[in-house]
Amino acid sequence: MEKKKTAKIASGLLLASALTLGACSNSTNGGNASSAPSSETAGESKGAASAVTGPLGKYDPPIEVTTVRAVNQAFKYDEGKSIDNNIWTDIFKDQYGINVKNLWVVDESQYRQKLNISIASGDIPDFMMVNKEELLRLSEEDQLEDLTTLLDQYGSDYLKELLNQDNGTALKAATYEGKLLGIPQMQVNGGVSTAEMIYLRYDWLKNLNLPEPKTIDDVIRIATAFVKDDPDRNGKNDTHGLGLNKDLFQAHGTVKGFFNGFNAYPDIWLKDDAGNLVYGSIQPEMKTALEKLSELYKQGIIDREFTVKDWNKIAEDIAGGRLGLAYGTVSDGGHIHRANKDNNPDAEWKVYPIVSPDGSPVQPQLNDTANNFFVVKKGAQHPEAMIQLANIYLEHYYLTSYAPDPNPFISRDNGIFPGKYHPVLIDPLNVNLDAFRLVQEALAKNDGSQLGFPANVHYDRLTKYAEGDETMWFSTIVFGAEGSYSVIDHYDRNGVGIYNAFQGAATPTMSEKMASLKKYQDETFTKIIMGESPISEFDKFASEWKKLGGDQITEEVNERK
Amino acid sequence: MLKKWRIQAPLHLMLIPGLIAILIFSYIPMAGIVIAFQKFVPVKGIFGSEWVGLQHFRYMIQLPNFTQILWNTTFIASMKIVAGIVVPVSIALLLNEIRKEAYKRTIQTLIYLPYFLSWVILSGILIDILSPSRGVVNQFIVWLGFDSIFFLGSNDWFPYTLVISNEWKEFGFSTIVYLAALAGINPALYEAALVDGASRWKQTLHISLPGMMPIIVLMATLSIGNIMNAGFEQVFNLYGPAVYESGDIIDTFVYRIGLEEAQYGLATAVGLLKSVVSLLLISVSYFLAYRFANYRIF
Repeated sequence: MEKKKTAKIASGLLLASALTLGACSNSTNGGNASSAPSSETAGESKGAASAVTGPLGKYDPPIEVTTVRAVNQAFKYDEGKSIDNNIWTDIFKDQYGINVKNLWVVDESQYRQKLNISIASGDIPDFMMVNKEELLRLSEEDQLEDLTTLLDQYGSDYLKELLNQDNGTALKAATYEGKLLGIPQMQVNGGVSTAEMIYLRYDWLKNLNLPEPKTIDDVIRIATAFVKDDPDRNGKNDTHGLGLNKDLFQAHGTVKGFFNGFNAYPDIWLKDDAGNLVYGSIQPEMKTALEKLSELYKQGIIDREFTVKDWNKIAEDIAGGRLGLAYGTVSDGGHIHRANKDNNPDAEWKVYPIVSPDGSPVQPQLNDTANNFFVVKKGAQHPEAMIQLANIYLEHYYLTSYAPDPNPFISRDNGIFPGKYHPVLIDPLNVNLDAFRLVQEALAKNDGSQLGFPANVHYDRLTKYAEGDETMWFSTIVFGAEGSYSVIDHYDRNGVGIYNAFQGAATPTMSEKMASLKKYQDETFTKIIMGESPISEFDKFASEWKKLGGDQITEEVNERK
Repeated sequence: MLKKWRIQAPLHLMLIPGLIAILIFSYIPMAGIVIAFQKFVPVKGIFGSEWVGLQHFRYMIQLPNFTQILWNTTFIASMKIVAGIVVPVSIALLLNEIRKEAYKRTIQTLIYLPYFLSWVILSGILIDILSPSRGVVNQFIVWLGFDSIFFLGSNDWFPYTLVISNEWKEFGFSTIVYLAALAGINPALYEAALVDGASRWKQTLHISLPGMMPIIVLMATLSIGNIMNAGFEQVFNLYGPAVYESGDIIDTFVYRIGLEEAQYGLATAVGLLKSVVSLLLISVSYFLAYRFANYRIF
């Protein structure tokens, strides 16, 4: 406690001295020595004089903008540096004439609460990071600046490009009544990288002389053979077919990818032909997919005990060589299948895009690309400064080559990670997908010397694996030419993927009823798969879902879209 | 009178820190109960939040499966309470008969061990040993000539599996309490009974059990307060959609609601309801214990 206090006072002092220093230099720069050199008046006088017309310009005289910050235990600093005074604040000040002042800095666990106090008391900074709920509230209270034209005028090309990597889904989530009120903080490796794929034990497939999965029927044939034809050739009936976990819709062993193959999209909102939003879980396509799963369960192709197994147990089955086929996400191979490879060096794994009944390409469902948004206070003196800061981040972190020196912003061995001191952190959605592509190009040319972070790390690991270092297998299954990112690459090149058509904050009935409805849904689906309920139970579920609040939610969602 | 006060004064003084601690940590936070009647928003605080009366309670009761959840909770909890008395008392009586100290100590330690494992670990172990195809328990059942049982996946078995596994984990701890009660019985009573020619069974029936009665009544009275606590940690780690019907309890359901949306008011309302029911039951059982067993805790 005492320590925190001293730290606060110290940072306060630092800030104060930085401000006075800034003010002094201003008065000399501007040449108007007549006005009193207090930071207040200096700030006022800048307003009219200081303007920048495009991205990455320098303000002269310098301007000051305020914000608020959340930090956590993992924020470490070089000697004498802090969240208020670091490599970024120096760059802002020296190269761009921007003084960023943190009105307050709290641990991230208290950020939302403290932010809400600021919003309630009407004392908000020039720009800040908010979530969907806060964005909605601030927009209803008309407290936010319209950023539509500002982004156009001041956003750098790269910023605009990465904000559109999800086809504008996140930007749409931040748009209210035609006005762009926030810049989405793109989730690193969100969007297309969250699409599901098929993980398959390739040595088993070869043992049984089966073709690779191209259609749902192939998947079912493989799953059946994996149960019945002793794929591991140990003479024992000890393998499962298709891996499912009890939670159904998350982690390894999900059914989302399987459902998507049938054009069924559980737990998200879809646009129907008339342009209205409808809930994916109650659409008739779900019924077909569920029926297929219940057939598989009945024949013992799906582990009869899946209802007690969470993804950890699925991972154990994989590690123990009892499971060779499941739907999963892009990072699963690096830890789940790695354990199997460690146990059994002869095991081979391959990943495939999800499949449809007739072999046509499938639209996988994707997670949201942004949960947080950077907003600007209505009437802020320099509303474009936040966009400038975002430009600066991308320019110095991603676009500048520091070779042969290391990038000064990336995380170092002592846990210091200067990149994240930046107040407007907007990373590209596809960091790892881009890295995958760069690595593949470099491998083709056999030259990884030009690669920056993080591609160089993957390049090193992949070359080590190629040289026979089996411990690097986990990198191949993800970043290798046939790794999981090759599937994501395939999705991205074909432009497939479906986002939740409702990107707004939860509606009143949604926050009240959704938990009950979700319970009803998961219970019904599980019972249908297990054959405890007949498939006709789905129709009852769909109509009950509407009655128990679903209709009202649909109405609210359509009003809000 | 004055002299008595002088002797006791320091003792009363020594109570003060404890009283202050209870006041600060137990009584003052009780004021937070008002949240149950508010649409609580942390920013606005207790005084600024909107009052909604009994809305949270009404919402809770109108939930489509509230009666089922309530039934699951009380059913599982009351079975746990009964098992939590019968099993440790029997084991304590049995252990008490063992004459070899080393043997007795070893058993005591062994049955105490699971008490220290968390449910996260135990659930993983249970899923494996109870598995219908690979688990040891079911292999034994099949060897005996019965069909294997899906303990954790069938709604018929799930609640009982919860009770038994919970008892297996907890009974070592409670057994120690009852063993302590047994140790406190005056040996002269046993000697007198021996002289009168009482068998070991008669001694157990007429000396050991009555001697333990105050502790048994105390433990029973206290545990009845737990009638609404069916054990969140255990259920949460073992259940899934397939056994929502028989295993979803108030705590797990509220947890899932809380995940969707931070509904402080509702969570407090649920907690308050549980506390009120517990208080009522404790009062009633205390009254009954006093009336019929002539036993007073205070």
